[in-house]
Amino acid sequence: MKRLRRLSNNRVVEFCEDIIINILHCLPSKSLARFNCVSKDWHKYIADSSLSYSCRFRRWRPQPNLIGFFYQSWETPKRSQIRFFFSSNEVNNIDGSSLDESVNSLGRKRVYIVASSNGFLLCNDLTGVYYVYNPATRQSLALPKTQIDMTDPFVGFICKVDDPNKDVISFTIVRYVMPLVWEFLSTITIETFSSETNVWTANIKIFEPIGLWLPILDKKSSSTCGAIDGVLFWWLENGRHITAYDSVDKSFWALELPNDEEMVPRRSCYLGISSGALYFALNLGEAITVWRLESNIRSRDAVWVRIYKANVVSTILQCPEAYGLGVNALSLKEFGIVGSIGIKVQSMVIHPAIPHIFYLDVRGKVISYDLETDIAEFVHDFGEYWWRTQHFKLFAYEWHQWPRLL
Amino acid sequence: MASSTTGEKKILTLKGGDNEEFILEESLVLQSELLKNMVKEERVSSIPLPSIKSKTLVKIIEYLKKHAELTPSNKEEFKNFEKEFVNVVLEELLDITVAVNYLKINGLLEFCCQAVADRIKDKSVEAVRKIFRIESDFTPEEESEFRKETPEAFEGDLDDTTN
Repeated sequence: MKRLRRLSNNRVVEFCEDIIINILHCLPSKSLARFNCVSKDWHKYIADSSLSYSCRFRRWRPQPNLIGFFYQSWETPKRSQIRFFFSSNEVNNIDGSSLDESVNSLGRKRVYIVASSNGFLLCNDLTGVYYVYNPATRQSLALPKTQIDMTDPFVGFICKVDDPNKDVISFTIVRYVMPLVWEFLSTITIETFSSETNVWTANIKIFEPIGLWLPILDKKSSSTCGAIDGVLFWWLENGRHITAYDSVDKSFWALELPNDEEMVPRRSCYLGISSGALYFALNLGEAITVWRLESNIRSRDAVWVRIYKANVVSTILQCPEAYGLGVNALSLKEFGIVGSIGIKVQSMVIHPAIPHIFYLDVRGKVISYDLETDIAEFVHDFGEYWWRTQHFKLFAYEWHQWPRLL
Repeated sequence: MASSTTGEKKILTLKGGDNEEFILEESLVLQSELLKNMVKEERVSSIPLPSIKSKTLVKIIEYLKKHAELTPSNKEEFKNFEKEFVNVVLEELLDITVAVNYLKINGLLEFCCQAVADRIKDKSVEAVRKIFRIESDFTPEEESEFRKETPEAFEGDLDDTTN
C-alpha cells in the first residue's frame, strides 16, 4: 500500500511503506502511542504485534527497566514539588528529556504521589480526588470521588497487565485507616476501587492483630510497600508487625517481623518488594541486614531468612569524596574524630527487580549499594539539608519500552 | 554504451527531474546502491532520475561529496555538516528522504528518518496526516472513539506542518 504526496508542480512523490516504518522506528514510544490513530496502515505498523517489523513487536519486553525514582518532600514548604532522578547515569539517555518535562507538568497539578506500581503513579490532590498517571504517555485518569472520608489513610495500589497482547492495564486501589488502639479483635473499614467496575466499594473487615500495639502514623509509610500476587504489605515505622491485605479473598492479617537476636524495630528499618519477594532490612546507621520472607505470602506464619549483612558505611568511607561526602568526612577528621560519625544511612529503598541492590540515603546523597559485591555508586544529590531528606519517600518508576495504557 | 573518462577518473551524468544535468565523478555515486548497480551492470554514462527534483539532487550530491571526504580528523566538521544538511523546511526534508530511499544511500537514509522523526514527534495526529497527505480511513465511529480515548493526541502543534 502506498501513500502519495502531491507536490506543487503536480508531480507525485511516493511515501512507500519502508520509509514510514523507518521513521516510526525512530520515534519515542510516547509519540507512537498518539500516532496509532493516524490511519489503519499506521496502526498496523505501530501496534500489530503479529508483524515482525511493527514497532510493538520490536520494542515489547515483558520485563521493565528500572529507570529511576520519583520523590516528594512532605515536610518542607515546597512539599508539592515532585522530582525525579535516574537510578544510574546509563539509563538517563533513554527518554530522559521528555520524562523530565512530563514530571514538571505533573507537578503543576499540585498533586501528591501516593504509590507507584508497574510504571504508573497513583496521585492524590488537595480535594481528595485520586489520579492514575502514566509518566511515559502523560495519560492521566481521574477516579470517581471516594465514598468515605479518611484522614491520612493507608493506601495500596496494584497495577497489572492482564492480557499480554493488549497494552491496557487494570488496577486496584485499597484504602483504610487503622484504629488508634488495638483490641484483641478489631474491625477496619476498607474502601477498594477496581478499574473493571470503576466504582469504590466499602467493606468492614475483621483484623486479627497479634496482641496490642499502638501504631505511630507517619506519612512515609502510609502507602503500601508493594504487592505480590494481589497481596499488599504495609509496615509502619516503629511498628512491631507488618500489615498484609489479600485483595483476592479480601482478608487482613498481621505478619511478624524477622525474629532474630539482632532485630530491633526502629524508624529507619525498611520493608520492600523486589522481583516478587518480600524483604525486610534493619538499618543500624552504619550496617544493614536484610531478610527475605521464605514462607508463602498468604501464610499467616512468617519465616524469614537472613540473606545479607554489610557494613555499608565502611565501604563508603574508603572514598567519601566519590559520593559527595568528602567535606563532611574531612571536617570530622580535623576535629580528631576518625570513623563514621555523622555518616549514616538515613533511609533505603530496594531495587524493584534486583534484590541485592539497595539505594541508600546517606546525608542527602543517594548511593546505590550492591550487597553481593560491596560496590557503592553515587546516584543523586537531593540538594537539600540532610535532615530533611530522611523523610523523603522514593517511588520506583519502572519504564516499559512499549508504553502501557490506562 | 561506454562510459566517458577524463584521465583516471570516470565521469557520470545525472539528470534531475527538471532536465538539469549534474556531472560528477563516478566514484561518488557508488555510495548509492541503486546507482552502483546501474553503473556496474549496464556501464551507463548518463542516468535519468526524473522523479527527483534538481534542488533535491543538488543537496544529495553535496552530501555525497562531503561524505567521500570524511576522515577521522574531520569527523566533527562532518557532524556539523549533517546537522545543517537536514536543517531545511520539512517539505524539502521529506523530498530528500524519499529520494535517498529510492537511491538507497543507507547511512544517509537512517539519518534523514531520524531527522523526520525528531520534527514530527510532538505533532498532533491531524498535523501528521497533513504532512504525509494521509486521509484517515477509520470510520467516524472509530475516529470519535480515538478522540475520546486519547484526546491529547489531537491537541497542540496543529497547523505547523512546515517546520
